[in-house]
Amino acid sequence: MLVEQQLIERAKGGSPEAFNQVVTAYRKRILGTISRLIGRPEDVEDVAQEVFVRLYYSLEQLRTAEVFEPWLHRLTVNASYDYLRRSKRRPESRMADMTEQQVIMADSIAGGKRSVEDEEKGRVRELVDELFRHVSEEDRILLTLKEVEGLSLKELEAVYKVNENALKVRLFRARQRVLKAYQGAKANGKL
Amino acid sequence: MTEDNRELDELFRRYRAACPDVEPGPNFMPGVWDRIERNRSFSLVFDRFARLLVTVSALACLVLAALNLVPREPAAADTARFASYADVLTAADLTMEHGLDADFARPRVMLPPTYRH
Repeated sequence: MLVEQQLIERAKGGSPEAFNQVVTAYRKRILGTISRLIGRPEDVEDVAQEVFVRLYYSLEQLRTAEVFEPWLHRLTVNASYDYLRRSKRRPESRMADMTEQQVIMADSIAGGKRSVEDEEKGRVRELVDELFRHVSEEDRILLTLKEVEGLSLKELEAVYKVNENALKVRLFRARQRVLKAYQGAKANGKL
Repeated sequence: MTEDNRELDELFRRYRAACPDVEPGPNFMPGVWDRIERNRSFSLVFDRFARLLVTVSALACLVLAALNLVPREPAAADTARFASYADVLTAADLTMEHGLDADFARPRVMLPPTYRH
């Protein structure tokens, strides 16, 4: 836990100062998780604000402060799902739809020349994003929470409110699909 | 297979490191409170509207109940529309007594065409 349980109890009791402290303690972690779940840096802050607004209105339903973190993760996953659903309906400008001139402009806006390290990081991100395209959106989020965010099965059980065995089966299948895609990419020399 | 699994774990670890940390902007907290206030004011408006609707409905119920309790004289048109069978028979007898011929009052039997001579 990043904060004392008493602070959560105070925030639950309606103290704005306590709520501010809770948000300040968790916002960076939540922003990071959301950025990996939705993959669009420009909307990360917006979704994170939505998470904390939902937290504010649902704090009184929290049974004990001990389950605060799974609760917050659950709100984060739900807000990310909602965002992804909304953005599917919204027309999106992709790099593939841009003219060459627009791509050059976008690149220059993004920061000009990138270092070798940044290039490598970008390549890793692209590769994992490509591998995740072989599973459904729900499985991608589940895998990200487990493999990238490092949540334990117990924590995932609390987030998803399903039993551990069902989660294990789902995770295993999703991981097998990603693994198969990884082997395919390796065989094609894309790694 | 195990080797690939290990490589995949390593790839996920590198992915975690490759994702940039997102720093909250200066307007993050004010933005959160702004949204909370907006939601709260919407809830207040909705709450007021719901209370008003309940009050108006209760008043309408009271008015309708009071109207049902007040007895009223039946109108002439209502008497004709809601008259009983006995009332209609009495009215018919009175009509015949006042000069209508017997054929008019006798029931007419319609026979099918095959029974006609």
